[in-house]
Amino acid sequence: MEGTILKRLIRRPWLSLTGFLVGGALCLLLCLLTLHLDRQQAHLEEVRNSYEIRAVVSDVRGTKTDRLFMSYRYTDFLRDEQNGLGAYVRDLRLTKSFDMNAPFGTGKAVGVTNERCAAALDPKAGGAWYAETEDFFESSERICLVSEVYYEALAGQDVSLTLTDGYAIGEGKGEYPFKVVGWYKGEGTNVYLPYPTSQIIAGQLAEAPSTDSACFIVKDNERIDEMLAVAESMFRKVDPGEAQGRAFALTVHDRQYKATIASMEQNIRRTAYLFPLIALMTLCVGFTLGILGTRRETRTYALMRSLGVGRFRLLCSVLAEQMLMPLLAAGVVAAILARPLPALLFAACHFVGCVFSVLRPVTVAPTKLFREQE
Amino acid sequence: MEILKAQNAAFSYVNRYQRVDAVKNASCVFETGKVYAIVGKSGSGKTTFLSLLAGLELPSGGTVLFRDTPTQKLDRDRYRREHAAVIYQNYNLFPLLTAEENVLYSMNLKGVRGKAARARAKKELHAVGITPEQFKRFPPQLSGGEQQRVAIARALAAENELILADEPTGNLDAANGEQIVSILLRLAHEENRCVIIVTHDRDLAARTDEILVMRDGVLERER
Repeated sequence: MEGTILKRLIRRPWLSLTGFLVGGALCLLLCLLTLHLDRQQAHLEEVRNSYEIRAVVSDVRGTKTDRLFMSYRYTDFLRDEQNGLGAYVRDLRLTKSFDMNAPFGTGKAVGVTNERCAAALDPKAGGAWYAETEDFFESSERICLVSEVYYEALAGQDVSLTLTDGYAIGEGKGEYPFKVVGWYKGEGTNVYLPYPTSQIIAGQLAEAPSTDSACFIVKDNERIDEMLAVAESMFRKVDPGEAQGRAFALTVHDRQYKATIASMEQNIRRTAYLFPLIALMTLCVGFTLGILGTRRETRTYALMRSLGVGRFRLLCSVLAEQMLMPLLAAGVVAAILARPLPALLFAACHFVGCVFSVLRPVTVAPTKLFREQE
Repeated sequence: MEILKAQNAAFSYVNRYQRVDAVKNASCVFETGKVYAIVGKSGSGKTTFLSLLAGLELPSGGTVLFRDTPTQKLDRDRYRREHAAVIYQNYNLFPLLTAEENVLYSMNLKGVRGKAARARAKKELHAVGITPEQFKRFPPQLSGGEQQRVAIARALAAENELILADEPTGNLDAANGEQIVSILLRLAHEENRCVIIVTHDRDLAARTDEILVMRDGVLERER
């Protein structure tokens, strides 16, 4: 019986080849669709994990993000992993500026937590810096970076800087010796200090340390809402009509991120909608191929019944004949693309289509089929 | 020995618009070792009656009994596979199988396979006058007479005790027809099988042991 099926398949090569090609094409379509979906999912995950969402602290009216003179309570809250935002924060950028008088000119002395706090230091913004001291930004020493034009003359020397803290109620002025330990790219007269050092000096000049600006990158983009709920206890939402006071707002710049994610998710959904369509198409093609195959062979099937082949055996035989080549093609495609699932889906849909097409020759009495043929 | 019996067997073709009583209360007994001819005009119900005897259709009234078991209660697929071989007027060979494979097919259905089956298939083909060169030919490459002989070889190879032939010589010339008739007579008389032939050919009918006439669905014994 099995040998007969193979012989019949070999002896009608065009129909077999058509089954092979159509089966292969449909399975390929399903495989490519799953590949495309997987790629889109991977891309979505990559965006979710790598997209940098910036959160910025501003005054409550949203008019400024610098010279905020935030008390240490806010910066502590941003760093606190237990009761604050520490668990949601990555790459926290805090700055504290003083008006400065130095032997080489006037400018600002800016305490920074990392190189991304200032464009002159940030390589991504075209800046550059060098410090002889390791962990410059974490240091509490009186060390500083000057611009590269002054560094040659001042390297390793102490310079006396007169600093004024705008947050101080009184004069808030003091003179401090700083050791020049490095340089930053440019010709400015500004000086960069480690943030901890700036907080010590601010504490001395204004009785309480303060911070001028704060921003950070959200650590986990999927937990923004959770983060905002925690932030509510310390920060408010931007309200342009609010009276200026000592309150601060936290703005998360996630609009573009959310739009990007929504757009990608919509694309994935649209692609996924194609699955049932292609499955239905596979079913219809299975049915059509089955009908084409069985119509040609109705007399053969009637003859098989009249020779004593049972209905179930005939059904198996016809299905095997109809499905062998398409399944072979699907198997080849699935093996090459390492995608067994689409091949199984194809097989299931093709099977259903073929079963519908062979029901009649299997169930109708052979004499009736003979009469129809005659 | 009685092998097949029709008791008031009837069959009607019914569709939405009409009902045609093809066989009306046909009764007769068939025995092994005998050749029966069923004669009658076209459309008289001969082939339908043969289908009832072959278990291809079930009677709408009365019964057909194979060894005293009604065909309704038989496993009719098994009945056709193991007991009743049908030879059709239009041969009904598998077009994609060679002459030899067509004969082997009915043997394989009965579980006879391998070299023994092939040897027997060749023997039966040879017995009906098919030459070894024709064994490997496909039915469309054979003449009508050759195809009919292959169909008969298929029935012989199945070794069924009941052979039902529908106009077996209808498409054959006189010489080929004579050869087929001789084979069928020999099967009944020498191998103790029951051969039932539906035919228009009065000369052929005259050579059988019993003649039954079908007139408008009514079966009558002529001899």
